[in-house]
Amino acid sequence: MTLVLNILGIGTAFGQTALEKSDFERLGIPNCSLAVGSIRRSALHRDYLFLTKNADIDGVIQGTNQSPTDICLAAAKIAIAQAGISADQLGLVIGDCSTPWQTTPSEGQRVADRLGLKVPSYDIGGGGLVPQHLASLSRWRIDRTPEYILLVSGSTPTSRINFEKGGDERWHFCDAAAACVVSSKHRGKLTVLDAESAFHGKAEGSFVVDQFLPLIAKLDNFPQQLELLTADMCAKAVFKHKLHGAHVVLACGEASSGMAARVAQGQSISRFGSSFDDNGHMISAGCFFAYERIAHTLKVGDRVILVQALPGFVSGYALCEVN
Amino acid sequence: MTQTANRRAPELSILGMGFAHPVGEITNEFLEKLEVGTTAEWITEKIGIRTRKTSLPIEYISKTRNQRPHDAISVATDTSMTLGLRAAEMALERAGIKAGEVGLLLVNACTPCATSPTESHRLAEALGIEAPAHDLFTACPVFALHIDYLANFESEALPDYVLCISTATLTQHVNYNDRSDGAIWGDGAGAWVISPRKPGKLKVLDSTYHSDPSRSQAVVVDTWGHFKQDGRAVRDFSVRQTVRLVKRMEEEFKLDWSRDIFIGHQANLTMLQQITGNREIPESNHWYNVAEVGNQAGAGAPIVLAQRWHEIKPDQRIAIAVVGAGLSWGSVLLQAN
Repeated sequence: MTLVLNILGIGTAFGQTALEKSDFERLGIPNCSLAVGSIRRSALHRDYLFLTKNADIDGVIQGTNQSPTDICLAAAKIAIAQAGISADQLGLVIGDCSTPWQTTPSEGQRVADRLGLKVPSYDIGGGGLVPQHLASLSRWRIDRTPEYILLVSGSTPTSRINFEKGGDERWHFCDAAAACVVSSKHRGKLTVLDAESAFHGKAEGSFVVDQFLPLIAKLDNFPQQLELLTADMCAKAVFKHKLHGAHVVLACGEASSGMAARVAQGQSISRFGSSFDDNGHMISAGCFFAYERIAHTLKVGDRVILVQALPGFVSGYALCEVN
Repeated sequence: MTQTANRRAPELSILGMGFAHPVGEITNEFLEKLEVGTTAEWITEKIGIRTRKTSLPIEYISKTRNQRPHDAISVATDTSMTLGLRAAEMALERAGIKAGEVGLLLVNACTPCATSPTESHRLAEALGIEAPAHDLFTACPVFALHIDYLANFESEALPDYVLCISTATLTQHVNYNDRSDGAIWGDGAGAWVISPRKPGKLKVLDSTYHSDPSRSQAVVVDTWGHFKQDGRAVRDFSVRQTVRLVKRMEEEFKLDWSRDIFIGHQANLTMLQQITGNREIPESNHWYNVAEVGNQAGAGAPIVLAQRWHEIKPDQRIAIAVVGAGLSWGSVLLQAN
C-alpha cells in the first residue's frame, strides 16, 4: 500500500422501524434469541410487517418508503458533515448495496444523485467499505485520487426476508448503512495505515441474496465461518504490523460481543467493539458501527483494526491510527 | 502532509478478449407479429437494429410478453453468469493464460441473478479464480470504467493479469408489450484480459470516465421489474457526449479515420451513424454489431472488439467511446502492437 488515506468523517444510519423481542414474538417467532434491550432495525413499516409478514417479497416496496438509498444517503450526510466539507467538494462517490431497488444505475450514482453531484460515481460491490473500498483506494496513485471521496455501503436485508416462513434469519439481520469521507490530502480522525482484502472462492450457499427469492442464511455455520474469517484477518493485521500492547483496538463488523472477545483474546487485544448484539447483521456496514461503539475510548496514537467479513466470499481489514 | 508523487502508472495492455451470446434471436418481424404498434420497417428505419440476441425462448415472449421478469429466469437458456463464463473462457484462451493466473477479477453485471454472492464472486468460483474479485459496476460505459479504474493504481499494486467481464441479460427485463423497449435490447457478455506489464495485442494509450448522477434515473432497471428509460433525453445525451469524447481523442491524438477505427456504445445504429457522420468516419472504419445483436449495455462495445479481434492491424488505433446509464460516459484509446 502506498497511498495514505485519511478518514475525515464517518456516518451510520439505520432502517426506520425498531423491532424488539416482543415484536418478533408477535410476528410468530417465539424462540427469537434477541437479548433484552437489543433491537433490529428495518426499513419496512411496522404495520406492513405485522399485516403481511413480507410473505410476498416482490411487493416489498409497498411496505416501505425507505429505500437502501435513503439509508445510505443519511449515513453519507453525517459523514460529510463530520468531515467538515460540503457535498460539492466530493470528487468521487463509490457505493455498494446488496439489496438494491434498482440493479441499474449503481448505488454510488443514486447516492450522488441525491447529493446533487455531477462527479464520477460507480459501485465496488461485494464486501463493503473495508475489504473492497479502502483496500482498493489505498493502492491508487495520488495524482489520480480526488481530494475528497465518499464511500458508502448499505443494505436492507429485512426487505428480502419472508417473516412468515423463514428461520432465524428473521431476527438476525438489520437494515443499515455506513459511509466515510476519505482524503489523500487532508488529515482526519483516522489515518489508514494499511488495508487488505481476501476472496475465499467458496460460497457454499451459506448466504445468498437472490434477485427474486427470499434471503438465504445458513445460520448453523454462518457465525462460525464469520468468526474464522474475522480472526484470520485480525491475526493478519497483527502479524504484518507487529501490533501489541494496550494501544491496539479491534472493531469487528457483524460479530457478536462473544465472537469479538474471542478474536481479540486470540491476539491479546484488550479493547474491542462489535456490532451484532445490539443491532444484528448488516451485511457489510457493521465494522463502522462497531467502531462507533469504542470510539469514545480511543486516544491519539491508538491503532484500530477494522475487520469486515462476508462468509464464503470476502474478508478484509483496515488498520488505522487515531490522530 | 505530503504523499509520494509520481508513482509509476501502469502501462496497460489488452492480451485477449472474448464474447458470448445466447442462442435465441428476436427479429423485427417477430416484434411486428406481437402487435404492439410497431413494424419491422419502422424499427429498421428508426434504430437500425434487425435482430437481437435473447436468452428467452421466443414462444415464451410470444405467450407472456415477459410481464413477470420473475418468471423469466426459470425459462431462460442463459443467465448473465453463464454468458460471462463463456466470454471469460474465450478471453483467457486468447490471452494464452489459465484462470488460475488471474490476479484480480472485475465484473459489471446489469442484471445479476443475485447480489450476494456478487456476480464477481460467483464467476470467480466458476472459473477457479482464487484471487480478489469484486463487482465494479456502472452499466453501459464499463469498458472505459474498468480500464480507467485500473489506470488509477500504482503499477506494482496490480497483478500480472486482470480479468474484466461485462454481462447483461436485459431481454429478461423487457416488457414486450412496450413497442420501443422490445426493439432495443439484446443479451450478451464481453470479457477482456488486461496486464499492467505483460505485452499484449492492444496497448491502452488513454482512458477517461465521468458521470452525471443528477440524471441517474433516466435509465433504470428495477430489481423486480422492467427496464425504463427516458428515450429522447438519453439519445440526445448519448450523441452529444459521444461526439465530445471522439473530438477530444481526435484532437489530442491526431486520429486518422482512413486508418483508425471507431467503436461507439452499441445502443442503436442510427444514433451511431449520426456520430460517424458528424466526425466523418467512413463506414469501413466504423465497427459495430448492434444491428445484429441489439443493445447489450456494457457488453456491447467490448463484444464488437472481441468479434473483430483477428482483424486488428498492427499500429492501428481503436477509439472507443461509450455512454449510458448513470448517466455516465467514458473513452478508451487503444493501439495495436
